[in-house]
Amino acid sequence: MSISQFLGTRTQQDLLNSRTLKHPKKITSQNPWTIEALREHLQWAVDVELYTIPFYMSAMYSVIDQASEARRLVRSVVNQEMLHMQCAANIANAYGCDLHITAPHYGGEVPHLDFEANPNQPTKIFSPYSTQIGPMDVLRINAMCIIECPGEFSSATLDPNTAEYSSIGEIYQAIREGAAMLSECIIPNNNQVAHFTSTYPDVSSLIISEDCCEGLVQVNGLIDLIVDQGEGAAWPNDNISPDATIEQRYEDYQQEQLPPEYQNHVDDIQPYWDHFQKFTYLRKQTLPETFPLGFGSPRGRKNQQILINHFGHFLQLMNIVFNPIYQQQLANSNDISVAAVQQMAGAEFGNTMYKVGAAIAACWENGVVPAFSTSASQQEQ
Amino acid sequence: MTQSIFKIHPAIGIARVGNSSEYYLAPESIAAMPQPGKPGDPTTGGLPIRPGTEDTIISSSEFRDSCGAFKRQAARFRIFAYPTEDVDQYPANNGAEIKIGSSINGKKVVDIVWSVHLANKKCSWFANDDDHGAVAYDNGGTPTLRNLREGLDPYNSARLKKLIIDAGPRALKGCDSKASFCPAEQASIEKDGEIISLPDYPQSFPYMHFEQLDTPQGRIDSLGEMETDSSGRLIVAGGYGKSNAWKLDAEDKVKINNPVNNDQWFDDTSDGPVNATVLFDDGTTEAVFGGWVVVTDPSYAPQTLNVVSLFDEAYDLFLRELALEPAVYHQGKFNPDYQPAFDDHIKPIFRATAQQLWNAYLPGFAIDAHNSVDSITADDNPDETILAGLAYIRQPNAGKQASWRSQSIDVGAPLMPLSLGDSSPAGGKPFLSPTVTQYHALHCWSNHQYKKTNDNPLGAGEYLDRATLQNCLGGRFSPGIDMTWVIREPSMYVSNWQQGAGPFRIHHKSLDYTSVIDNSLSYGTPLLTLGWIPRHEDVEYLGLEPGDATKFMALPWHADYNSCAIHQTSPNTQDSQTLYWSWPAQRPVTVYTAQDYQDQQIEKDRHGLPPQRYSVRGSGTVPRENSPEDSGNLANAGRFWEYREMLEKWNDIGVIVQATTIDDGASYPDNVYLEVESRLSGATPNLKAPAPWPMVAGDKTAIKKTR
Repeated sequence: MSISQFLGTRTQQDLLNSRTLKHPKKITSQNPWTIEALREHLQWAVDVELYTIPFYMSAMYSVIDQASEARRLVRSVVNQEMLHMQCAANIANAYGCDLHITAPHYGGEVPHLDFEANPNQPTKIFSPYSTQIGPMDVLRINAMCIIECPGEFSSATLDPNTAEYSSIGEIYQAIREGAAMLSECIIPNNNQVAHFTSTYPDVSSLIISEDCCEGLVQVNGLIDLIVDQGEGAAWPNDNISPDATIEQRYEDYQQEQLPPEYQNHVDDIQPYWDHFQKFTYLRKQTLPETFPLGFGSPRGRKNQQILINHFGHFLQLMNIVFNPIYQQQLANSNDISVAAVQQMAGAEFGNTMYKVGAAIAACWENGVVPAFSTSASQQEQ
Repeated sequence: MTQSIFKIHPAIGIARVGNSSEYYLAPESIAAMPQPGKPGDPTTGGLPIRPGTEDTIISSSEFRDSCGAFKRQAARFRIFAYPTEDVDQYPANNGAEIKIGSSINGKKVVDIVWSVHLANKKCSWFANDDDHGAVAYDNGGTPTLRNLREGLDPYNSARLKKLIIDAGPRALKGCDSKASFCPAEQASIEKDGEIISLPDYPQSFPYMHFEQLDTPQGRIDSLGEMETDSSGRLIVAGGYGKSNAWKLDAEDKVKINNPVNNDQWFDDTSDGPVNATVLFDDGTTEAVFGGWVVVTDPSYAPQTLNVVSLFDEAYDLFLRELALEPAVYHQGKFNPDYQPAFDDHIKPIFRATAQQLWNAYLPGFAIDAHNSVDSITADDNPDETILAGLAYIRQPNAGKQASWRSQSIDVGAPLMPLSLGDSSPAGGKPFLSPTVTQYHALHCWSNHQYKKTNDNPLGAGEYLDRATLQNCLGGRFSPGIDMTWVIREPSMYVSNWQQGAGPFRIHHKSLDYTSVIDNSLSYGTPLLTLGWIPRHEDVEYLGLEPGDATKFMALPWHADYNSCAIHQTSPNTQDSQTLYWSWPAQRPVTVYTAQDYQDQQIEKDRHGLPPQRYSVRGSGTVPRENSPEDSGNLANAGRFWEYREMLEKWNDIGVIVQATTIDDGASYPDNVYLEVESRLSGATPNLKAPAPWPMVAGDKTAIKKTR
């Protein structure tokens, strides 16, 4: 029995239609935290994490050589982005969020982020770049570097005069502060998902199982994991020339600083590197050979539609797996138990995820760019 | 008159050791695939056959005799007659079995004379060189000789006589006849349709040369038996799983310190040619293209299909190097119009994928994914399946950009198969990949270029060739279980197979048995020589002597079976601690026991399965200390810490079979494969229970944490 048989309000088509992005309303001293604002931020965090996955995966599968460094390094990042998505959703659920997981829109802005505002100026350094889904080329590698580029911030530097956050790290810094202020709102064990535990056995907890102060420690632990694996652990500020570019500073900074518990020693060829380090490394290498694009063969068009279908189904499953409120709605409207909803969605989750990856590969094999929404498919035609 | 040619099938038969005097017959169906001629039968192929029956599979209690001993697997050989036309075609699909009493070309078969010669040359041969594999024999080279104490010259007759176990040939005729490969029985050969005794044949067994033997399960004094059944087919049962070692001094027990090379040790596996002569009622005789029997380790999971089997290896070789099917592959290229058959070339790979969970502890996601692979039908659009774009299949050729800071790499998860490849820095692969031919078939399927069913199926004899080898381990030849990388060596086979022999037939070296009869063979001189040396042009064309197929394997085999559970990759230039399965289909690491499956007190997972247990478990299996920094390492779990323990406990290991054959009175669903008949016991309180992959090696990783 498939979960697709059960009626729900979140249809594939709805989820595949990208939402119009709201520009985030930044939290400032004049604009203090509320639980609604924190939930909104957590939704944004999930949006950003999801955004990276099809983008990185598409670039990864465009590389012909399975064993190339490029493909392996990006795969290791994709796997951690999936973990980050889980962590962000776990924090969101701990604060009672009603997550909506919808198809990202590619080609425009990365949701909720204004990289122009990043004082490290990644958009100038990593140029030209493109956020369109595409092969592993200069445009995509630069975009990856921009997305994972560290910012420079502290609670004191959250600039109330800018409308958006300038880096993923800054969003999480804001969430860290909001979460601390609202720690009494933490709901322990609220639909916590705990995959990846065997890959990261030394992480103290991948779920929020405690409330209040102890729960906040777990929240901060997950934020540390996301930020450290992504743009890297906090940098030392001493002995750095103020005129150095981000790349120069990064090279000066001692590598392999990812905390041991966040290192993937199962299948990461560079477990000590964060995402930014992996991408900036790739940027300096010879571009890998990628599948050539054709001229839109009928089979290629079908491959795009198959991918959209799988991705739409995967979005539905993520809405169920990561949203206990929606689980309850589905259970009520179909007169089945929540446990049954969870079991059915859980049983399909992995396979659908694998099918999305396979369909991306098939798009490249057949000379078309992977498409994750109907509009994207039409756009390419 | 219409002419026929005659061939023995299977071309290579596989017998397996057991410590019982009883035997069952080798499976004649392909593991995990439907049994031929039994549509609707839920029990998949690969199971042994009850002696005295055509194809009745055994039930779970028949793996052991009434005393609890592990039965041997005997190989059954048949003779097929083929028209002399189109002998260069594969498949021929036009053969018919002949038995005593059959009529062919107007003549009646009145008798069949069978002859078999078994020997074990492991002890006299070169060490298994995992670092180089076949490459060690290139350019006239060889690995280091085993047992250098017995002489440095591998060709020395005295050395060979001491170190080769040679039971000599035996010949049989008629129905229900028997002969034993033991010194108490005279050797014999077939000559002009008659059986000639060879009382002076220089049989050789370890006890004849070494006074002080270490005999954990008794003295090796037989390599098995051969007999004919009621219709004149041949049955060959091999040794008893014994291992003997000669003592150099007064030490009580000879040590085993290595998984594959242990001086002073013998085991009673063997191999050798199988020949036959057909006698007709008009007094004429017909020679038969001969087969070969290989006696090797037991099969503890007979229905778990290897993703890459010996057949896949041999088929890949014959297709690409020996012109097996020019319509498929010709002049270095696959025919672009070639369409593999889904049922024959694709489905076995999918079935094998789905069977791995029964012998290896897979995470739930992987089980789901494997089941999804298995559910793919010929009617499905490949692009809509989980294998679209072959995104998760490891390509057989290393990528040209496969370098990491000048180091060789390959990719583990999520690529399949997630098991280890040939272990050898000299051209070895960290991970197993499908053969080039298998990958090409998958690629064709992925591109919608396939047919649903094979419109040119194998004939019955050819199916026996395939089923026999497909139930054996391919890939990861370091050295392997049934046969090693020699299966990829063209010189091992009758290369001009188009002349009538057909493919996959081992090239027999002609042995001069008359030298024993006319006493031209000096007293004390062995008939068998160092034998076939692959990649040595001066001798490889001569063919194989008895013992030449198995001499490359581990000595004793028990040590390698014990060792090869889970390992880090090799090469492992990044010093990854992640563990992978060596031979998951053939050497079960962790299993679901029937007892746990029934136990209502044991919590089941969402697939309805209990936690797995190690296949090799109980007393002696807790990993101990290699060094102060390396004790209790998970890399050493699922095996006996002391190699020697396997010498006496191999016959206590359980067997994984489909629930449909479990006759313990309990009720099971049809599609689960559970371990039964394990006799291993003993508590291991400190040993951590096995957990699904990923598994990571390291100090104390196999040991329960103390508070």
